[in-house]
Amino acid sequence: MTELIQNREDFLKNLTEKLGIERQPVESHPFEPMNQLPHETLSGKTQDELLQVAKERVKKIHTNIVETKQADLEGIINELIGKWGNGKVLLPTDNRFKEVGLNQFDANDYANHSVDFDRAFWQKGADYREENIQTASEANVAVAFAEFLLAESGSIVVETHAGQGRSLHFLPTHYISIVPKSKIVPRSTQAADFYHEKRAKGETLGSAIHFISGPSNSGDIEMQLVVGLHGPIEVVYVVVEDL
Amino acid sequence: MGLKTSEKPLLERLKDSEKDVFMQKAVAKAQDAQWEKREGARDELGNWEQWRELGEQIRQHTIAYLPDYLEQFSDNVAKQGGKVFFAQTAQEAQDYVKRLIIEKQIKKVVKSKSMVTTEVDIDPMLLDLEGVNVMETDLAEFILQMDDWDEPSHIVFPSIHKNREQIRQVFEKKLGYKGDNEPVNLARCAREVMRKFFLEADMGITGCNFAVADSGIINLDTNEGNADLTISVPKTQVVLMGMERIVPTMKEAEVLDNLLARSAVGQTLTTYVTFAGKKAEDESDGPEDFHVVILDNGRSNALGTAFQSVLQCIRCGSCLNVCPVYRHIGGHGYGSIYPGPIGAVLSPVLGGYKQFGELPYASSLCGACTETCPVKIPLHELLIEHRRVMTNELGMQHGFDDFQMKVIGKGTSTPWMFKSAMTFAHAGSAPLSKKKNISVENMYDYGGYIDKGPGMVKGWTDVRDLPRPPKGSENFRSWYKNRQKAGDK
Ligand code: SF4
Repeated sequence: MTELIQNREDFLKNLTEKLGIERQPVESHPFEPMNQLPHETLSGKTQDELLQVAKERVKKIHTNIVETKQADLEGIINELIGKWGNGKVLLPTDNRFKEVGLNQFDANDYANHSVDFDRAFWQKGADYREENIQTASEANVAVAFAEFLLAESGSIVVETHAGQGRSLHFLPTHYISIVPKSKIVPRSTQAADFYHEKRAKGETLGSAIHFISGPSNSGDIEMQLVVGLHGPIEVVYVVVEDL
Repeated sequence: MGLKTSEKPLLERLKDSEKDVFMQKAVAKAQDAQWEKREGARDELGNWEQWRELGEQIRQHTIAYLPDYLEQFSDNVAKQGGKVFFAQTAQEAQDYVKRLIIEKQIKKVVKSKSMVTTEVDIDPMLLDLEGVNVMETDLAEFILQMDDWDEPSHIVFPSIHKNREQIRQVFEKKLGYKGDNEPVNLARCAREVMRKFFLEADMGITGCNFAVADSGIINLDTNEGNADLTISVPKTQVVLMGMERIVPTMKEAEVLDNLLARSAVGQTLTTYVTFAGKKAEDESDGPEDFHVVILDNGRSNALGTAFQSVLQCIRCGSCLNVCPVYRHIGGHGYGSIYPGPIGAVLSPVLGGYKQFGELPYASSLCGACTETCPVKIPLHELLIEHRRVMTNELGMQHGFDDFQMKVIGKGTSTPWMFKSAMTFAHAGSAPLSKKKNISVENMYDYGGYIDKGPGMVKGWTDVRDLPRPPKGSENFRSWYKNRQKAGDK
């Protein structure tokens, strides 16, 4: 299996023949949407109004929103972790912790700040694959930043980077998402636009982008909702008003 | 299992389904629950018709330029070091995965629910491989696997034909589960069993809701979180996708994710909406080895024909949930892994009329499927087109006339398919304000059934054109006879 793309030419030739077209570069037929509904829906709202929309929505997806000021953020998070019984807390290696004053979660500084739980960091680099996955599967809680909060669906958006892998969001039992209030947007449209533009500008994207709406769930047994299946069984969004 | 799920002739399968009262109740319950959620979610969004038009436009555009987008997509996967295999047939797709497993000496495979993996018969192949263990990680599929690989009965709820007690018994027998039959406890048991397996898995197999052409990534919509683990933990990932499941950019994927979640499960978005490809160099989890298998397997038969629009399908299952025939016979009755109205249109395209030519007749042509489809596939018109092609172009008339007669009950057998389609509440009896109680039976009152449509082949299908359905209590046959006498078509 050395060739990266196999059997393409014959396959596509069959399609073009059946369609009765010639192959063209995609730039020659850009998609022009017939309406702007995705952008019009929930447009023109203030951050406060969007937060209100999100607060209504999360009630339906078994998720809590806690509002706080930056000064109280640390206390709120420690309280949540305590409520869940402390234990191992998994953290991304992320400079934003320091920027918002959560030095206890800063990978370079955490040792100087004592807490009631064990902290483990998502280690940077491919060599730490097994170790990171193992830690995530043992973690009682994960705490990470949201890139966006989508008001309409009550979803947080996360993007992978070296210091924050994919399974950090899925293996721990509980999950806390820190959401700067300025990062609340109307809906998934704005998140898709953001990543679309980022790519268009030639910037590198994380290899995985997740929109996550609360805890995992399933209705597969007699259509009765069960909250908490593969992913976290409890999720809290902490919205920071002055960020 | 492949496309075909049963060797029995359709009439026999229908009789089996008719006897399965639990299944019918389960399907009815699922349909009614979905009805409320789905319509609620669409109402809440607003402008539903315009959203559908946008969805249709995206899908039509992509299919019209399918070769170009597939080329762009595969180039982008390759740019990241991923591999793309174009498979003309299910066998080619299966063989590719098999070679990969043998070459890489894979021991444990985790799968997340996908119709395409069933279509290419991945499971029996995996089970035949010495030393390879496989686990279905979607809860419904896990239940089916534990019950000796029972077949799925619904696109979105594959195990609705099983109740909690049946599931408890299966878990007790297969997993040594000692608890009660509460869904949450059953689910926790499944979580533990699967979690352990996940952590040891070296290959993940997923389907694909949408492939994003301009970035070479895959978009997956799920609720349970199993797909996200499947693309995180194992070092090797294989994506099996129908060739039509592609969109130009993340922007169009986002629109379809919205339509899909509202239509399939009545949610704003599914709990997890994920866009992911091969892991980046400096990242530690995610697939180091990333393979996408793009499958034709008969789909191209639809291109350039009246059936091209069937490739617009986003597998939301909505047409199943509004179908009175599906309500009565359930998924297994169709004998194809793609059941319901979409299955009745798609299966003959993929598998041919010889295997699936009866399915376009397993429909009341009420039009509810067309009306609910979020990407505006004219399903009931395509069912009629199938009949037309078979009758006029392929000269298959005789056999199907016979079939039609038998099903309709103009001869001797029971006309239950009809009855199931025709026991709506009377149009005047339920005001629109009673939205909460909408079900397949009374949807007419909600404006659910459409009244326009092309001319029908003569016979029982004319029923669709009738001005209003009979009262539930009225005997359909006498009513129908009266209409015929009156010449009122
Ligand atoms: S045909 Fe339409 S309604 Fe049916 S599953 Fe496909 S997209 Fe959904």
